[in-house]
Amino acid sequence: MRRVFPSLLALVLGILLWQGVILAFDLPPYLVPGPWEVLGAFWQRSELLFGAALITLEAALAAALASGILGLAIALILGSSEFLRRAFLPYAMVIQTTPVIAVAPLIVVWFGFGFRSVVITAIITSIFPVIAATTTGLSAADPKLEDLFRFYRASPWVLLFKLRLPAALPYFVSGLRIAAGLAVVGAIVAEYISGMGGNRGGLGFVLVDSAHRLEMEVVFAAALLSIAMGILFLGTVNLLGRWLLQGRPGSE
Amino acid sequence: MKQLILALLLLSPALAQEIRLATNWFPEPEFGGYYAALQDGLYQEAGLEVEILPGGPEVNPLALLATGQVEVAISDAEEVFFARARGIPVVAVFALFQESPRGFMYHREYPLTTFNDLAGRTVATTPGATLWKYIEATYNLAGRVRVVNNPGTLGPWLQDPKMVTQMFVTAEPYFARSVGADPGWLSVSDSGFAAYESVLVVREDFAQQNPEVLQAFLGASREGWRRFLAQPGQYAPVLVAANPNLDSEFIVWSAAQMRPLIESGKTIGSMELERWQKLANQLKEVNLLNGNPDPAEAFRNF
Repeated sequence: MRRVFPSLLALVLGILLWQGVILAFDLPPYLVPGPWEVLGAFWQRSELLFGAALITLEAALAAALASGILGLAIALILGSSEFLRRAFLPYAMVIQTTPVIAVAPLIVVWFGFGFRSVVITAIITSIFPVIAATTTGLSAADPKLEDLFRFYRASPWVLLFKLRLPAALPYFVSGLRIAAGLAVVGAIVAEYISGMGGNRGGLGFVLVDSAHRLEMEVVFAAALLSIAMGILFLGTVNLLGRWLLQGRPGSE
Repeated sequence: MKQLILALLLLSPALAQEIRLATNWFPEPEFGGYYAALQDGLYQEAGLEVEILPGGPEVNPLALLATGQVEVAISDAEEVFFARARGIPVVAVFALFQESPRGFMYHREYPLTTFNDLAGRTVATTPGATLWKYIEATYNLAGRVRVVNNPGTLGPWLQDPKMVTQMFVTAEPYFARSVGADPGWLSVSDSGFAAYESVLVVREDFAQQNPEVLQAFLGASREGWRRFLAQPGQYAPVLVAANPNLDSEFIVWSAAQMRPLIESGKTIGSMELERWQKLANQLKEVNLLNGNPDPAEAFRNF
């Protein structure tokens, strides 16, 4: 209780301030909806909001998993040789620096309407931190240990699985932590751009359509849901990380 | 063997001709007739299996049409010219809106009577889009209007009584009134811009190879529109199922706004050569179209 008390107090103060600003400046709900109106939106539009959140959750989850698995695989390939790493890692950065707004409409054209396009866009948004962090981690093992492995003529596989991968694991987990949050953002941006992504709309659709209808309390509620989803993802990765890294010095 | 399979294919009612229709926005009353045709089974009766694929802010239905992902795309008439100029062989086969559903909305305390009155105002529109380029050039507004990107919500417009926003007369006035504003508007049709809007577009080869299929699809769609415009409330369920943000009251109101814009032609969906010719000339005047595209090739009445 003592640990969560400060953050609960901040939450209550934040909500009071929110309501206070609205009352003080007489802001209409179509500009800034009050906390009660947002709460009401959760109640009255629960079917729309939670239905949409589920669709987004599905896409973001698929993208986070794919980013983790694909990112690890790509990092292993890049990390297997200095040459490959120097050749391709700079270009991996292209993935990170291309604005999603530029590629998302193309992805819809290439991969068609729907779930698939949203997931691919979310992967593009989230995969780079996994690749970059894991590739760094693969060459972060203590060089003295590496010498020791070589001295005992360990095969490259043994070197990889007994030394380099374990050394890369904390890096992979921190890459995945960033990717998890980005996967949610990427899925919502993809839905925002490609609309309903097929036949049913996720949170990105709710954000566009409800703003259009001046239902700002629904927009706020959808934004809160996406924040909650991001936190849920981060929490899951943290738990996963703790489990993977348990017993290590320096891990909590 | 081949003949046998062919015979089976022809006999089997389950293997209906598939038509995927890509729209240019979320499900909304502007697509009501197609949803009505679905709800009443009109497409099924015509031997068609129709799927409506809802679009969104950045979905370009013509790109999906060009890449063969859909058979029919909803777009606007000028886009047909642009696609053809880029070597994409598409043709318009049905024009829903004979008069434009778009307009420029103002607050009644600061009214506009013609497009010339836009001078000195802040206008939320799509700055690079054809429509604004046409209006800017035709009414000599370049540099005399503060153009801002349409923010996707009426919030800024509601805050500024002198602001003007481009909008759909079938939607935004309803939202504006719901929060107590008193809107008036100029119709895009009054600007003289000749483009048919919400046009059904198909690939040329599809129109040539499947005229009966197309005829069946357009016939069922036309009947769907007749029914939807006559009794929009009856078709609210299928629209609300497709977009849970819609409600029956809005759908009925929107359909009433659309009706005169759709029914002013000969029959629902029919197009005139003069109108396409006029549009081609307008696009050339504002340098959006080069060469001499033949308007007669851009559309076909079925």
